[in-house]
Amino acid sequence: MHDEFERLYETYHHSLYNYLFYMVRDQNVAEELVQEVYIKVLQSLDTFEGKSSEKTWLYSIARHVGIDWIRKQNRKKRKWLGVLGPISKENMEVPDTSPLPEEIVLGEEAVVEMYEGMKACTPDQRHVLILRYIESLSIKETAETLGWSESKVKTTQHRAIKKLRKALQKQREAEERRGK
Amino acid sequence: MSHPFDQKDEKIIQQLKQMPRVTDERSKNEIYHSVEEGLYRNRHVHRPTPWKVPVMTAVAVILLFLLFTPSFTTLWQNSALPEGEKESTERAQQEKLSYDEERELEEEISLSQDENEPSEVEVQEPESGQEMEQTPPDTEEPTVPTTDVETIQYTSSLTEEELQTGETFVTIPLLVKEEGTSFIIPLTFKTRSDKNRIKLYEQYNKEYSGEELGFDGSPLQHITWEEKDGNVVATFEKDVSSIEKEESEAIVHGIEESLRFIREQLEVQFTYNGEVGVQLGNFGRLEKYPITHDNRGYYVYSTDSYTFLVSGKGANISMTNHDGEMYSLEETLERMKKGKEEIKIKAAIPEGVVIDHVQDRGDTVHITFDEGTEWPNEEQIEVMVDAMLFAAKDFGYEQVIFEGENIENLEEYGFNDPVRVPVAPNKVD
Repeated sequence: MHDEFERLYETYHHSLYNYLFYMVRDQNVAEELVQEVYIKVLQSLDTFEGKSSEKTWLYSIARHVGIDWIRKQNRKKRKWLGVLGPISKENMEVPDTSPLPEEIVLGEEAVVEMYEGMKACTPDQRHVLILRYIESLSIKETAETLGWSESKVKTTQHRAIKKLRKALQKQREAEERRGK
Repeated sequence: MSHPFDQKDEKIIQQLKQMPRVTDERSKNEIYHSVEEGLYRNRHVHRPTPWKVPVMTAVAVILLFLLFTPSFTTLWQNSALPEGEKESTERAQQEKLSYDEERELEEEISLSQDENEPSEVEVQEPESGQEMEQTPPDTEEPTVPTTDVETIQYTSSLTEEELQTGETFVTIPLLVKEEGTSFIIPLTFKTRSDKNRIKLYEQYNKEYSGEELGFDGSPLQHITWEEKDGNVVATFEKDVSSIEKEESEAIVHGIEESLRFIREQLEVQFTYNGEVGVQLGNFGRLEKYPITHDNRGYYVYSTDSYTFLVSGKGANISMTNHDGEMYSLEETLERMKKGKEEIKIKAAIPEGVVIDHVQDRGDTVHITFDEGTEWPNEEQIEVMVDAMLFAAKDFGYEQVIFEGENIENLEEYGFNDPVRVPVAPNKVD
């Protein structure tokens, strides 16, 4: 078991952690979730048949672990607010109250802007942006991870960039207004 | 509409690629210990092995059956006894029954006094239910255990900008049978081929079974297609003179619902057995069939895995009002809010979306939403927008401008710019 963990850790840990962090936007939560990914993977490694690549399989497990966490947070929030009803995609927003990690804070202004701008994207769009550009997965790998068609990845990617561009533009306009 | 990768987009992509990698500060050993603890916890959550649940249920059922059906055992016992003994046994059983009834009554009273203490069976079921909940479901490849992630995927439309140099597309009809009726779903394939479009059309119609989507194949499987002097000729390979009405309509609707995305202003010529014309079921003899763009509206059909757009014509939804006049675009969009539930055809535009007005400006149409519009979720917006764009396309518009006070949710569709109508619906890779 330790050997398997060692191998997975050396090969994928930083990528999985980074992916989970950008998804949930909280380092402590990303730490918990990456552990959960290992637990699920180590429990079911013998069932992995190699139909998809190990890398996309792990990312897809991380994605589901992240989504489950976000849903749980939203359920808690909704329960607390006394709101009932099915969870829709609009309610899949990430609670974003944790402090920014050092890597972001110490980055250039554009990094913080981009990090903030990503909040404007829908959860699906964010998944595509993170996997495609931050994690450098190919279209095919992203499609495999998300369980989508390649064309859906392309369309979502196109829309995500567009949305991000508008969000960044709005941020700059707001800053300009504040500057005046 | 801007090109998908103009300079500004490229800059954003580069910035995204340079986002810092956030690292886990913990050591490998620290993480391993936490993982080990998690694995240990999971292993020591007492849970029944999968076979235990059905076995326990079966045992409980048998016990309950024996408890409440004493007559069954009596019958079985009595059938093996001589006549005289049977009577005495019956008397004894009657006495026993009344005694049992009394006991049951006493038990009921005692149970009602101890309502908070569930019976043995009642205790077992919630326990196993709880344990099942705690049990992480087995991880299977390629899907992963999760609670309620949406799995229905919309087969989005194909846009011109998605077609790269050397790429082409072909749209074929698939026949869907639902609740005693049938309708046509157009399916679009993007491909790279030097083949003539009409020959590609023939190939996909003949070869694509539709099986993976759970549909019958194309109703045009037995037709050979060719282009002659700029005309499209369809040669029937088998006699279709006496086919059922449903089958002949599937052929005609299938041609209409697919060829119109490939060729504009088209008239198909039919041949059979080396002669011009074909005897086609209830349509009688047909020599030519014009492909018109008189469809009015698009609707939604979903299987367990996919969502498709279906045209009103393909689903046999009326395109004319009581006076026999074709609906206007505004009326069509309004009608797209109601489906045909009896055959599982759903509305493409949710009820909460209110269209204030529709304005014609040459090859562009302006669709203005009311500010009170309630926007649906992202997936529904995508389906709705595609359906509206196709509806506009059938009215001859090349682009649509969406307007309104409250359209910020639709920004990603480039709603400040005119949106070009897509080239074909329901794209599969």
